[in-house]
Amino acid sequence: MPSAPVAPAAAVVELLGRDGRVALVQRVTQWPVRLGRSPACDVVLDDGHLAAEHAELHLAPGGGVQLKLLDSRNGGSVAGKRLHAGEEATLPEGGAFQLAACSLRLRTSADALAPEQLLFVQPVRHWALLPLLLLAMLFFQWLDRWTAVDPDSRWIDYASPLLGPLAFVLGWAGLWSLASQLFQHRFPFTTHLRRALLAIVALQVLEWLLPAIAYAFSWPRLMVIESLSTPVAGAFLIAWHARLVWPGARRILSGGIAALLLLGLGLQVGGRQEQQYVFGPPYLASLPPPALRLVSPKPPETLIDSLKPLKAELARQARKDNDGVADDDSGGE
Amino acid sequence: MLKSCLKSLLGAALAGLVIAAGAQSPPPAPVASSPQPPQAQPQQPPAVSASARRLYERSKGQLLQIRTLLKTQDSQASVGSGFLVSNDGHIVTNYHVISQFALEPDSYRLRYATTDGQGGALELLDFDARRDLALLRAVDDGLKGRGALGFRPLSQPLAKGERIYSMGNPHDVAFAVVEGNYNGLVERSFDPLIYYAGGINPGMSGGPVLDEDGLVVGVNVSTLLFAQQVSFLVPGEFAESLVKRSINAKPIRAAAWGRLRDQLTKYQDELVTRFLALPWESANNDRYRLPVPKQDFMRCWGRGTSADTKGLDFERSQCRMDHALFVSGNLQTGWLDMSHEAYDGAKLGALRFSRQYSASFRNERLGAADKSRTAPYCKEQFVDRDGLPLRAVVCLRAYRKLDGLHDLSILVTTVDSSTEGALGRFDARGVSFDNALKLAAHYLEGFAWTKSSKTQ
Repeated sequence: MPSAPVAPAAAVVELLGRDGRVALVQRVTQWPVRLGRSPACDVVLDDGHLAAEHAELHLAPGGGVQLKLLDSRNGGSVAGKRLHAGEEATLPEGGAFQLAACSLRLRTSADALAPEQLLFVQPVRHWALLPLLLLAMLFFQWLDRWTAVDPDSRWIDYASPLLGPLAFVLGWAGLWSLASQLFQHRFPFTTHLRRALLAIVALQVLEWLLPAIAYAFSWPRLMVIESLSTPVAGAFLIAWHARLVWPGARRILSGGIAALLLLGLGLQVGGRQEQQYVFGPPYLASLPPPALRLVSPKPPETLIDSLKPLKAELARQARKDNDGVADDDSGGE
Repeated sequence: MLKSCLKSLLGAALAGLVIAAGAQSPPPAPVASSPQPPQAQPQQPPAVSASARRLYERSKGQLLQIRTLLKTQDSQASVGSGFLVSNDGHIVTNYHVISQFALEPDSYRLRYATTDGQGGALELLDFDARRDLALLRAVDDGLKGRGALGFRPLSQPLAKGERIYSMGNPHDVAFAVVEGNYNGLVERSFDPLIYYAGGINPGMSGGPVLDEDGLVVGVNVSTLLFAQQVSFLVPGEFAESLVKRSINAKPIRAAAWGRLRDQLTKYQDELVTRFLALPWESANNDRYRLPVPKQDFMRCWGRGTSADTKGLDFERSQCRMDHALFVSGNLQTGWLDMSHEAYDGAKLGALRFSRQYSASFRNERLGAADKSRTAPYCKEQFVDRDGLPLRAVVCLRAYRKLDGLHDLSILVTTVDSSTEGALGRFDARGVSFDNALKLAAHYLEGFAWTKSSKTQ
């Protein structure tokens, strides 16, 4: 016989769940280790697809651990190779093997241990931030509704504009938290809610601020920012949520979402080639109270004069789709 | 001008007809000279339908159906009616009956069908888009020698209530004669149109309308939607002058956009000149002078909120031309339309008023790019009108195939008060760029303080 096998100082057999996390750990107290459903086994596994004594782990004479399949109907596999009753195989690095439907792993004191991970802790925010953000969102919703209805409106008119967005934002944060639960085994509801509220309130502020500034200085093209703000803020918010759910895939996620955003904007550019402006409304339609107007009105002639360059531009646009038309008759009468 | 050229035309083209008509049926009762058919009616009711029968019998040889067919197959794209105006096979119909052929001669062809079932190919000699008339000629000799309908001379005007008879082939059902009454010209119309109290249906377009003597009074052209027996005829004089002008014209074989463009350009010049000739009338608003047209070819409607409203008070006025020029199945042009809304938001407060005023301003539709026109291109700024600050937006769309013609839309809001305002809109269809600028300047002039508010 060659040199006698040396048993590692300590070893455990781990049963892995579907998500790769360890569901059950059993310490190895003696070699060889017998695995199966029977209470007589060293490692008892509760799976109907296993035989009473399904397999055996024993130390190989040349070092390493051998898996030997005992008499069973379902067999097992090591490193993707099927094993039937009576067959043997050496466990690979990491010690993973499969018996029937059970994913198992043998971990010994000889294996290198992964370093301790740093716990990802959210910085603590002031307790009032979240309620304030919620109130701000509801205030803007209320303001939006209040200005749109006549003075004799009833309180019930405010119910759906207030409760609808509230339900939406809570549901949205809940769904993202569920995603976090699935992948991170945490439920960071307040963090998701805070991020969603920050984006929404920022959009609401812009919605009131931009038209007022555009009107005050007669800069109608400022409204481009408003038309871009919703898709950009939406993409940013999704990337921000996703960073909590898949912290490891930060770069891929940000890149993917940015690419989608650019694709969407590109489609809009393509679809509005014929328009005067690709982004933003055709004209500034906001009429805030006159006190906000900071520029002085000009004589009508300047407006009429500013129209003159449109003649050539319109003629160019008109010719665009006109190529297929055959030459006219002379047109004489 | 029209009258004189009409008289000279009449004798030549229609002498044959009167004789032919006389030979076919007994001479008509002297209705035309003494226009009193309503009194005669109750005594002998059958006489009316008898004269319809007599007229149809007499003129059915000159009555035609005009069919537009696809070049490659025999299914009809559209049908209308027409009538012979010469012994050589010249036919008058509506421009809109043959517009598909005129604008796409490579895809369509024209054929006629007579009341006795004959048919043949047609060619287009000329059209008058403003009057919605076209002159055709049979390619072969199939219509030669069938006689022609004559035009009633302008020197014998019809009286209101006189019986006239519209002919055509409604909906391709069968040739028909429809009795109705002459009711004078349509009021508030830019171009003269006869108001005919009788039923005209699609397919009868281009058919003749005859008096008791079998002379052409007008040409079926259109009806008022959602109304009964309110139909319109192009006065016969315009058809007669088209015939006179173009009876020897060479047939049009290429797409006629250029000719159409020239006619529409001429028309819009006249329209804009007449429109600009009159100053604005002021709407009855205490604070603002708001433009309302005085022109007799525009019709105005108004409405307002009820007095007990708790929200925004407004008064709306809209003035427009009811008649448009037909260009093609998806484009009509050549009209002016304007409206204004005066708002009083005293019950709302500044913030609410601002919101609802903005919503009304935003609600204006300017149209999108389509096959016939570009997207609107706009300029906007604050405008000072004698001390009254306005926010004005001027938008133009160019016609793709009618080079040099544009649609103009102007939006004007007053921006002097936090709880009062007026929103005006002016639209002109199918005007040249220079005319668009003139109209825009003219429209802005319509806004100002009223005299009383200025002194305050």
